[in-house]
Amino acid sequence: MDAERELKRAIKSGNGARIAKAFERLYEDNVRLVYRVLIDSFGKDGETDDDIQESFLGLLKDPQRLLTVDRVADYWVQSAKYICGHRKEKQRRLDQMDDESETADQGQSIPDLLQGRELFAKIEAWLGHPDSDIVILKAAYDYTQKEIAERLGMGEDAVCYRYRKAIKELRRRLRDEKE
Amino acid sequence: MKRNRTERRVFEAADALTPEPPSFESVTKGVDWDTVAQNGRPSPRRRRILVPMAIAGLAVCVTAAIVIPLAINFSNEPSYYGEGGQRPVLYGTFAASRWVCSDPSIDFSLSTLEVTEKRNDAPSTALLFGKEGNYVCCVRFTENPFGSFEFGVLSFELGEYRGEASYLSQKTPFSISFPLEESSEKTITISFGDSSSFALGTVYYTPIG
Repeated sequence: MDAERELKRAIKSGNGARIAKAFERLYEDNVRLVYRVLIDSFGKDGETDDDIQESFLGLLKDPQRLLTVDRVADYWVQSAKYICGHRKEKQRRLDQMDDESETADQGQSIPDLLQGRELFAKIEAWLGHPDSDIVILKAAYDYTQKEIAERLGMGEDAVCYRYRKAIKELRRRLRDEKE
Repeated sequence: MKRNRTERRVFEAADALTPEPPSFESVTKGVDWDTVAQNGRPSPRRRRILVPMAIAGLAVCVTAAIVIPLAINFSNEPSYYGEGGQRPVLYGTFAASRWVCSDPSIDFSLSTLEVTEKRNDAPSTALLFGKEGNYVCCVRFTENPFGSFEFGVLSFELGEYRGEASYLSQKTPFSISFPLEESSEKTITISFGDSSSFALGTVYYTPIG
């Protein structure tokens, strides 16, 4: 069963062991995504792990609330971004620093983490810009069309259209490569 | 997000390149899952609101299920004919005593007409057997309190009374339904035919039950 659905059922059941198992599955399925998004949005520092932990424990504080959200994973990503961003902002104010150093990665098309690596190098070569950026930001980071459009300075419709076209092309290329 | 195979491959490749995140055990160290489960249940305050709401909702449903059918059953308003006190009182079983047709070419002698009146407000039923063919049919009442009005197959509301006249099929037997008021002898004129051939039949019937 889908991890999200299982989690919501477990919460409704009120069974501690079942809830623990469901949360573990949700965590394993999505923690790398949350991690990637945090690194992409704010850069990695010694406290990123703490941000992950704090945001996840936040989910456990009010499980009832999770029953009302569409996707718990999205909710987790958003709360992790909020926590991390809040901390960075506080830190920036304390240090009286410009936000250049901390947010240097923001606005870059393909995140450093994946740039030029294995499959992602191929995606860049096959699809070119900005289609490769759109595919990576959407498929690997779960960014919304709006977020991608703002990041790449395009319209949302264009992102939607290019993504559909690009993912088809990528599927074809991967199939050809396999053959 | 639902991912297709290509998207899943990209997602998993990105996962593989993402630095090792903290483990679930380290993140949830010291978490009391029974407390989490407890938090997942509706709060006592919420329960205090939800339970009475559920009971009230159930009570409304039960009340409606009882009251609505009773209200319909005991309504004094005529449902399909007559107005209040003018509503005919229907009772007894009637049988046709004579059958006369103005067109001798149409032989109704093989036909029988039965009229059953009911005590409730359901319309009486007349059944005519033995005639085949397609007919245009209407039933006309000529006595008080009905005045003079007709029931046609296409017009079920005529005069100030209502009744029903309908074919069961295009072939006999078919049924004509209409309301009656008294147990005394009545005359019903029934017409058969279409624009090219028209016949008039009159049945006299008296109460037998």
